[in-house]
Amino acid sequence: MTRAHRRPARGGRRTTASRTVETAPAAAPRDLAAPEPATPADLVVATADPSLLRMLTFALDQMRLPHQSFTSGTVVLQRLLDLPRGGRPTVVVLDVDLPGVDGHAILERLGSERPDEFLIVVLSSHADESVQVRSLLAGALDHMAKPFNVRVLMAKLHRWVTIARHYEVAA
Amino acid sequence: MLSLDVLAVALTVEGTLIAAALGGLVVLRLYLVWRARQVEAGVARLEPLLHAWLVEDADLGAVVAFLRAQPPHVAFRSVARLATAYVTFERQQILAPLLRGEPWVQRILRHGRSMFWWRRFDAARLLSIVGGPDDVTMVAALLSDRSPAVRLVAIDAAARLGGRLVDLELDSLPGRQDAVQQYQFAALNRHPAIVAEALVPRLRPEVPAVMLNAWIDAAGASANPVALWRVRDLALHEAPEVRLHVARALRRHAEPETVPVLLKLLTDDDWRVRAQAARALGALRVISAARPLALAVRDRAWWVRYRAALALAQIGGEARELLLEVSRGSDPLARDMSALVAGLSSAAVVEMSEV
Repeated sequence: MTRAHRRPARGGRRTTASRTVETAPAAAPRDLAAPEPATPADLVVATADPSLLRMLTFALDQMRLPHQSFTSGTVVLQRLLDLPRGGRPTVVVLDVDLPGVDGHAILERLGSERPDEFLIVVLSSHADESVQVRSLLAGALDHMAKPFNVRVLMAKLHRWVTIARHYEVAA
Repeated sequence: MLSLDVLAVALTVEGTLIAAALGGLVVLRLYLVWRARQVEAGVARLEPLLHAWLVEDADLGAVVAFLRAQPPHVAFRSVARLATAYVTFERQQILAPLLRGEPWVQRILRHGRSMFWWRRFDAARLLSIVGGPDDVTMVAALLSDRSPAVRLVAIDAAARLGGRLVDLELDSLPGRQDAVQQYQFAALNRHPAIVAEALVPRLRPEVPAVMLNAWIDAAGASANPVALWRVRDLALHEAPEVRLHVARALRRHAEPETVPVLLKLLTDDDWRVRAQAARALGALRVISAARPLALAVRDRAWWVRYRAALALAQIGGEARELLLEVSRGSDPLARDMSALVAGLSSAAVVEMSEV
């Protein structure tokens, strides 16, 4: 049994991610080394673009990265705020164009209410300097303009999930 | 009696024509719905093949074979929808040569000279994804198409192909509207090295101001250091409009030599130049410019005071202290402006500085 399956659940956000673990193929992609299986709470994806969501889900499954997905800004914000404080940071892939509360508003809210508890990468159709600076100043770890290279994003997520895991160990 | 017969015939003919027109509209609507469903089904089946290539680097042969088996309009719309939204420019370069010789591509591209603008539009859109060196002449023609929609899409195709088309685009820049220029800048930025090479010889003081301003803006949008060095050399141009564009473009040129040039422009005779210089110093976060910017908050022009105060807030630290100091000073105009800006959140400062 992997470390991920042995770990106790944190809050009520495990079901979807656990399903992702079960359906993930056993083989790792050819040239992207998969990280060791992580807990289902490691990664949250929020986008209202169904095609993008399918691509990210496919890529995360290939990487064997358990994740939860959301298509509404209001719901994802509430779920992130409901997470228990402390512990390992959660990596969040956040599309700016979300219905309800948009990505920038979520970023600013998390920055003010739960600073340093999330490692957030912002996805946006805008590559303008001002939009990127706004994301980064609001606390995002990275800003990727669409269309982005999904393999690069996966490599970054792999790295950040590993860092998040070590962060918890250190704490 | 005769007139009633004529009226009956007329009503019958009229009713038949209306019924035929309505029937035609219904049939047309059903046909369009059927085609849209075909495209949706095509997109849904192409998506996993494309994902496998993008994520796992799977063989592109499956994508090409799938598209070949589709009706041309389904293949085209599926590729246009997915490739532009999810495939990076570098990956499109791999995809393009594999698709260029496909029969469905040839068929759509034959419409590049169609009398219907929407067919030329489709051809231009497809060229922006699969265009190659053999398509330069067609793209050049589409760049000067009589339909603005076709011209706009052709910009993407031209930027993709580079070379002579970049020269054509740069030459057309001064005549374009601002919104179209912005679109052109975004397309040209895909080829920063080629664009810089084409821009540098154009950035000369003797060039008419209207053209020079457009090219300075292009250099600023590209943020290419080589092009921006040439822009910096135009800071003492006799036309204030040119100096204004220089100050605006230099906010993307984060090099030590830019700072004295911007400080000089901060004392320009034209208030628009002073305002843009303040904006650039803020964007570059030039801490050594804090005191000159604090003086600029006392400028006689409202816009310069606003830009200088925003720049101090953007730079932060010691510059923000100076902003607060001005807000407690004796100059009422400077005091009001600095108090207003000092009260803004950091996100608001970033947002307003770019507007």
